Amino acid sequence: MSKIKSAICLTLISVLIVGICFMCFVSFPYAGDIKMFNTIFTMQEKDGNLGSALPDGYQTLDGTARNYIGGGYSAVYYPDGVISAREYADNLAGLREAAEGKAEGSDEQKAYQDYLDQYVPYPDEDGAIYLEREKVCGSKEGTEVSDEFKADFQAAKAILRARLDRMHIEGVSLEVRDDYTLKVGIPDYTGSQASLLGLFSYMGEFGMGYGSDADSATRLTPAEGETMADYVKGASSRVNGSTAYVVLKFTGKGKNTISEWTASAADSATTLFFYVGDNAVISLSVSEAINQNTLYISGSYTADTARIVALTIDTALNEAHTGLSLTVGDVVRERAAMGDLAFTLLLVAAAALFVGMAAFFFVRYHGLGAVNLYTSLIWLLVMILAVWGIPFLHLGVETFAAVMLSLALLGISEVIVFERVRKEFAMGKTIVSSVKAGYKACFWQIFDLHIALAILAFVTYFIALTELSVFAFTLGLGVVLSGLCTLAVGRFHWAALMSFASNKGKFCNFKREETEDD
Amino acid sequence: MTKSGKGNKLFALFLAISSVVIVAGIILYALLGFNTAPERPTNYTFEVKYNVVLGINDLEDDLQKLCEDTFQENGLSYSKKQVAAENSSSNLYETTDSILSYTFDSASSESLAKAVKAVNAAAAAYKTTDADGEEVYPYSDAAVFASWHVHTGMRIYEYAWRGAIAIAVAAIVALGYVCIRYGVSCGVAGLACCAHDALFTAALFAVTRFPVYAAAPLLYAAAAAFMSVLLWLVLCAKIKENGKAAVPLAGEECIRKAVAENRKLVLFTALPFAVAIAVLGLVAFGSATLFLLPMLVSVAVPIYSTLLLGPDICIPIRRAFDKRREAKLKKGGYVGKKKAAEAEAE
Repeated sequence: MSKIKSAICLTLISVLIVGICFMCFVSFPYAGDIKMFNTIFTMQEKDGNLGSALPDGYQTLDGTARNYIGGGYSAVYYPDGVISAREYADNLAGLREAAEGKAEGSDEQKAYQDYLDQYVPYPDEDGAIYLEREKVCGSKEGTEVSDEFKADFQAAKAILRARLDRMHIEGVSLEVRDDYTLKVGIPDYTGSQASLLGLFSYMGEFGMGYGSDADSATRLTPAEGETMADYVKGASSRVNGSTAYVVLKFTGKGKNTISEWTASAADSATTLFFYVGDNAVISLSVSEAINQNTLYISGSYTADTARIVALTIDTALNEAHTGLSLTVGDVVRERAAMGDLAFTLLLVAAAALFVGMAAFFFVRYHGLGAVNLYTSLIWLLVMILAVWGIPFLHLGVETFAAVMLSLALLGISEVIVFERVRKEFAMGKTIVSSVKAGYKACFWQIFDLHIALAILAFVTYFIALTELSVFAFTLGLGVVLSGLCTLAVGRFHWAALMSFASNKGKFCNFKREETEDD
Repeated sequence: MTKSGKGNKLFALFLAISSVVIVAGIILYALLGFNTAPERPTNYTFEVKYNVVLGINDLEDDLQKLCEDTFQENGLSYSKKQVAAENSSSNLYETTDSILSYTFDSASSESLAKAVKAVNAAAAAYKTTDADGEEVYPYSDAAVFASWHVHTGMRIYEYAWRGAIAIAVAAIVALGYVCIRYGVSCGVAGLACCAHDALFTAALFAVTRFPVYAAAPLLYAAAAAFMSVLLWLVLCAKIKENGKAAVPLAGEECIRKAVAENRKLVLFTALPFAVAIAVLGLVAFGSATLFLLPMLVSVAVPIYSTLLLGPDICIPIRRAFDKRREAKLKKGGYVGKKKAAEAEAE
């Protein structure tokens, strides 16, 4: 490559690298300090373990104000009949205030006394929850939790676990709190957290009905010996372009029922309701007869909300259900589980490794250190942009680990090539033919290494879930890019940079083998 | 032969060690699972709720001090502290209420109950005077209310079995490629090493009861499988090189020589990965360290299997294939030009 061509290419590449680095690492105000340019690292979604504060006034593209990215939300579900000690204290204080100064036996006094009798603290008088005797203990005088309530609570727990399990969200957590409440943790990057927390609290059997409103609708009562599973096979979600659907699959019987209900829909519009317990999960306005086995319901769903609705219905249909309803209370914005500093420290560690690797190459290979620097910078920036741009990827400790492992692979691949070229050069070839022979000799070794590792990573990604899936995909991406960078980008940089060196062997810190004359 | 014989003896020993660790790991995992102490499977929280009035009166720090002094008096020490805004459950918008939360890895319910009583009593009794000299109760006005909770974590199952299947299938597919490129003996030995490394790594954590995050052992197993394939391929390339040398070596000799000459290469290949994990783990101290540093096992185990187990698994398979080829040649069967030439050279 001629010097001029090399200079032009290297200048263009340098400008590109500086530009992307700027986007990745430098924040600055613009438009008269009104707006802020945020770095990719600031805007990048983080998992529940990591998190960072956002600049004041930060808004997402849909205009939602955010002050923190990462961490997650936690919510406590209270079963019907269970309230928090605080709620109990607040209610009791209100009733006491109303009863103060009232005559003995007045309604206010009675209400106060009734409320006192209605609840029992759990597990003891200092307990954090209060149980409604009638609903939880089975009688107005009961103090022990009834077996029926225990069974209902276990069923609610199982349904909630099944829903969270099937959401395949990385970092989701489910805890039993104070024995009879449930605490759910979901990471910040999950879309539609409010819908998830609300819909997943719906317990009870799946149901269908039609009419003008959800409360007065005519509901389907399965015949004796039948369940709703005899009418509906299941629910799933699908996304087509920008439209998300909830897909309901009916059995023959279900199809006939819907067909009967909607037979006169062309004359007078009706609404189909799909319930979980007493909650209408889907309200579908119908203006023509429906006579099909599969119903695709769109509306204002996003991919996430469609999935949440479908999962809520499907688990209500196919899991053991309970009549125990759950109420969402105490929703808290949780910060990064590993602390706010963890993200910054991981960035520092990654930067230290990168600098360390560059230093090794400069010490061992002199000028070739620049080849490695250019190649690994391009690799790193493409990785950063990919992690930012691919919707299901987010920054977590496993993402950092995968990026660093694939960076190490890139380093090793380059060492394999450089050492091979060194060997060829030592045998007396010119540097150009050494490079050619070196790359040729180790092409298949590098290719095999990267292909086998990429297969391993991507197959794992396709089958695994959550953390492992993110780790495997990032690793696979890093491996593929490492292969490309070693075999193509690195070689190009070598050619471009070497055109400026007068002593090419010295530039690469390569030496000829000393041979003894006979 | 002596060298080979010594190698075989040690191989049996290593195989026995690996088998014992893996079997013990499987049994312990089935009985106890992993030690997920960092996830705090059972933990206690002390929560104080209050509204915006507390912030207006600049009493948030005082409340924290009150709580922390109370903990000290009751012999409690917390592992995590957080002040979080409470959010509306319908749209997740922040409300004006906040929750001060302390997490305890271990605590007695009596001590926590005492602390709750003390904080609630102190908050109710605290009074001051306003600018007009009137008595005010800022904690009561801020609706300060303390409570303690016990949390028991639950496992999400699907992640674990899907992850295990994923690693197994991925290893089979990847090593299928190795079979095509480097021969069946290398492919099968690689697969054995890969399975060994993933299982051995996970088993080590089950046996030692080393505290790990719930999702971590699968990640470590996957990383071990990744390293295993990488190191085995480095060795396979050398075995292939020996087979193609100016004076080609016979199967067993070819493998033994590749191992003997490339121990350093395998170690140097693994070194950057170990350095990357160690630096990442050490610099990002705290919880991230606990997540990352155990991953060093994922680098160490494949080195052990690549150098000490893989070759001895590969040799008998290679020998069997060589015998079959020889028998086929003797019978005058067609084995392919390349293989026939190789057999002739041997």
